[in-house]
Amino acid sequence: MDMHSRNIVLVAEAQGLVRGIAADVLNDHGYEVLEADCTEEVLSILAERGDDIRVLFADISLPGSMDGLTLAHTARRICPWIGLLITSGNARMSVAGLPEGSRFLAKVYDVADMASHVGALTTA
Amino acid sequence: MVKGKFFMAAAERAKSDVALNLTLAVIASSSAPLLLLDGDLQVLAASASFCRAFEIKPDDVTGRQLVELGAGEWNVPQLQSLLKATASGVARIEAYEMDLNRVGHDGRRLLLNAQRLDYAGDDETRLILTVTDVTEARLEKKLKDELILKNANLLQELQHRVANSLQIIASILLQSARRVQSDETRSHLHAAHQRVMSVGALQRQLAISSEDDVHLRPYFKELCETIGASMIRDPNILKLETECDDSVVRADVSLSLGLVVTELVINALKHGFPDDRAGRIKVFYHSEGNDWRLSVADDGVGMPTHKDNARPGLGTSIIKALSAQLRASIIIEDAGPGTVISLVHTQAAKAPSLGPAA
Repeated sequence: MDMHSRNIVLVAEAQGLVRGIAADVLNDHGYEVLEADCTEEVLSILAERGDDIRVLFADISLPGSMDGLTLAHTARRICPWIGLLITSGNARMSVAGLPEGSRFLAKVYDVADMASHVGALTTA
Repeated sequence: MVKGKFFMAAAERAKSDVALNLTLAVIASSSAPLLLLDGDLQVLAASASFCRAFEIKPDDVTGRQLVELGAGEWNVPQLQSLLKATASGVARIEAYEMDLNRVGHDGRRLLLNAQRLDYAGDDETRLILTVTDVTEARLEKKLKDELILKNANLLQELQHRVANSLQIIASILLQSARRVQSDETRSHLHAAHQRVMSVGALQRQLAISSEDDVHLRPYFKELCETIGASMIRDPNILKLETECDDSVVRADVSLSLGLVVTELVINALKHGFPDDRAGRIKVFYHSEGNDWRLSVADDGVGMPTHKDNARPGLGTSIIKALSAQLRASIIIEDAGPGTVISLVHTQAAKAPSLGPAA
């Protein structure tokens, strides 16, 4: 756990409860967590704190002026090192079209699974 | 045969020509709107249905140029060049769509087909042009497409909401399990979490299939993978497998079957394999006609023999309720080692009042 303690994970999810619980779980696993509820907030956090952010865990249907797919590619362009874990309530979605190395986790996900994906992305 | 140029002027004389008369009669009486044209796109004959459909006076058609018909609404350059190309034999108009715009009328969507008539003994070019009004059909299709799209969007929105709700419940249960002190409470919370995840697995299966029917093989496979991932500590020691035929069932039936599998597997995990005992749990499903059998077999320590240990938990009541709903009997067999619990549905024994066989 300690080896990840300086890693910041940005959790981007519109549903407050879903976001809060994901943040709690990641906190329990020793990560520092920032939260965003729309694409604009993700971009402004990346612009400010991007250097410290290792993983973006985002719902693909995040509200905002940008669609989730574009957001993922933009995040990768701003922070080439960023690990991307994408989730969606749309079961038909897959990693197709996402930036290289992205992981996809369909809702309803097991939060323990989610944490281990984040772990794999931070150690990659 | 009468020469083309004289055709109209000679209409009276043509009465003597039986073949021509027959041709004109056939055209005039066609229920599908159609025109007979010569190579210069002059109208030789029009069906009454054509005149009716496009409000053209029947006695003011023959001998006119196509472009002069009505108030000139048939003067469509692209149609003309297509017809000319058809007349010279280099093209054929098949299902060409155009909009007919008449003053005082809504636009009509027309489907045109034109063909050069080949017949022996005459070097005059003759074209037959059929016109189908597809305005209503196109409009209907557009509305239907819009409705389908709207429904698909609504369904997707609903799936997102359901997924988010289940996500909240599942996450809270698992987070709570991490924080409680009591092992028993923790195992209850884990089981509850698993039940929610099982419903989530079905939800995904339904969303992917886009039908109301669920293929049991991939569904059970995914379900058992989810159960295994969250409830089996070491998959090398304890294996969870599925063996399922190609059965397809209705969504509501699949939910019941999936919850039964969840309960039976949780049960086997809880009671069959104490102290990290190695073994295997297998889920079978087989159907023949309307009869089916769902079994969960384990090679664990077997059923508790003392009545005290056999106190029915939440799982037992869930299984009983679901089997009644599925009109199935519960059969419990001692497999020595282990236990096989089956739900059996046969057409003859459909009355749930027969009760569990065990």
